This record gives sequence, structure tokens and C-alpha cells, in this order.
Amino acid sequence: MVAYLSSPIWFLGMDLIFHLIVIIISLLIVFYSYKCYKLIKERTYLYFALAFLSISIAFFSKIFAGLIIYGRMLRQTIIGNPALLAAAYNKLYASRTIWTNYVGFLIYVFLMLSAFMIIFLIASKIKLKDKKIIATSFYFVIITTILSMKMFYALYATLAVLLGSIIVYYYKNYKQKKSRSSMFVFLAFVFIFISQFFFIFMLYSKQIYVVGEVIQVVGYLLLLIAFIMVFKKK
Amino acid sequence: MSGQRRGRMEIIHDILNSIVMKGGRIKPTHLLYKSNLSHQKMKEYVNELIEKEMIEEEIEKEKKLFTITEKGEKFLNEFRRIKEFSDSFGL
Repeated sequence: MVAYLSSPIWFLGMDLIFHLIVIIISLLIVFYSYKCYKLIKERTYLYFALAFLSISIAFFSKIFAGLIIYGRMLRQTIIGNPALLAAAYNKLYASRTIWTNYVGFLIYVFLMLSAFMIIFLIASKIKLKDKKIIATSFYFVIITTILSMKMFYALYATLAVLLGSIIVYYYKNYKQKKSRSSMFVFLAFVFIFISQFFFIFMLYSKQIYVVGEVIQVVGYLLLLIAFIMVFKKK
Repeated sequence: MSGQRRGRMEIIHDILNSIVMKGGRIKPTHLLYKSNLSHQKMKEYVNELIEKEMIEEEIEKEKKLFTITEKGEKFLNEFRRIKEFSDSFGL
């Protein structure tokens, strides 16, 4: 996957932990949102759960691809020999396996775009019953997925556009509700939004990828704080 | 009840809360008054709540009564949290 091939050697493995954190936080939101749906049968909760489930699966596919990459690297090198590790890394960078470059990335792109498209539709209060809007939205998701396979940055640019709109809605929501948890949700999406710009340029420098990953995980941790606040509020 | 238009969730909460305030059982006429809904709308919500097993219909001395179930009480307890979750995440 492009992301792992953009990771500096010292960051290998750490990014997998970051992705695991994203999966756990997303699954918490999936669980509670689905519970709300089961309780009051309002489809918005089901769609919201679906969006975060897509994020979980997307990051799971990223971890899976990452483990394949790291597994191959370990097989090709002697543990503890940095020179051989670097050589294996460079060899892998050049070869780029079918799974990591295409299948893993394809799943990741499609699910991430779908997830943030759903969140955008929910946040903008567009009626999700309107099949024309749903069909048009997913047409753009599919087109962007195809485009991203040729130009990976199309994914991050599109996510930035979607997140840009999402944060406007969440800012309005914060201004209206004026609660600390809604402020954290707004800030979380701001961080996730900013991280996309680092991912657009990650091929220029491996450090840019690291900064993007750190900002992104901070975004999801802010979502976790907002989620905990909901449960702690008396 | 606020001056703003209530959402589905708030209406369900108000219906269930009205039953609890009346000691867990309420007459349809009282519920209509307390829930602040049209007769048709109240019927729709009541049928839905019966279907979801949040309330039950009972006949006592040939008079209809609505009683809150354990599931309905669970919803009331969970309501605040769901409302906070919905408000925070813009749902």
C-alpha cells in the first residue's frame, strides 16, 4: 500500500498501532450508534454506524496490507541488522506487491470515501431517503475510487473536500449546542481534515506521512474524548 | 416540552415520561393531553411503541390503559445519553 511504502523505517509498526487505535474508536461508535438504532429505529443511527464500520474495515485492510509488507520484510532480512532491513525495504519499495498496491488500497479508498460521504450526508441533514442523492453520491465515490488507483492523492484531496464541508456543519452544530462534547467532535474532524493535506504530499517526504498519521490519530482520539463525555455527563 | 418542533425521539420520550409520571399507567385521553399530539399522530406513536414493546395495552374494568414496560423504562434511562450522543455528533 502506498502509505506503508511512504513510511520511514523507524515508524514501521507504529503506524499499525495508530490504525488499531482508529479501529477501536470507530468500533465503539459503531456499537453505540447501532444500539441507538435498535432502540429507536431511526435510520440515521444505522447509517452513522455503517460509516464508522466502513472506517474500521478500511483501516483493518490497511493493517492487513501492512502486516504482509512487514512480514515479507522480516523474511527478507536478519533481525537486528539495520543495513539488511533497509535493503529489504528498498527492494520491497521497488517491487510493490499486487495486494498492497491494488487490492488493499482499493478496499481502503472505497470504504474511506463511502464512510465520509455518509457522514457528510448525515451532517448536512440531507434526506437519506432520497435515492437520487444516494445514487449520485456513490457515483462520485466509485469515480474517485477509480481515479485514486491511478493518482493516490485524489483520495486525500476528495476526503479533504468532504471533511471541509463536514467541519462547517459540525462548527454550526457546536455553535447551536454549545456543549463541550460537540466542540470535541468539531475539533476531531478539523484534525482529520488537516491530516489529509499531509497525506496528499506524503510521497515527497516520509516525515510528512508521519506527521499526517499523528494528526489523524489525534483527530480520532478527540472523537473518543467526545464519546467518553457523552457517557460521563450526569 | 420546548417551544421548538420536537423530533421523533423527543416525542417517544415525552409519551413514555407521561406514563411514568402517572405511576406507570395512563388512560388514552390523558396521554393525548400530556403528549401534546393530534389523535392520529398519538395513535401512530402508540402503535409503534406497542410494536417495539416499550408500552403495553391493558384493559381494566372495560377501560383501556397504557403501561410502560421494562424496555420502555430502559429507553427513558438511555434517552439522555442518546440525546447527548445525537447532539454531539450532529445526528
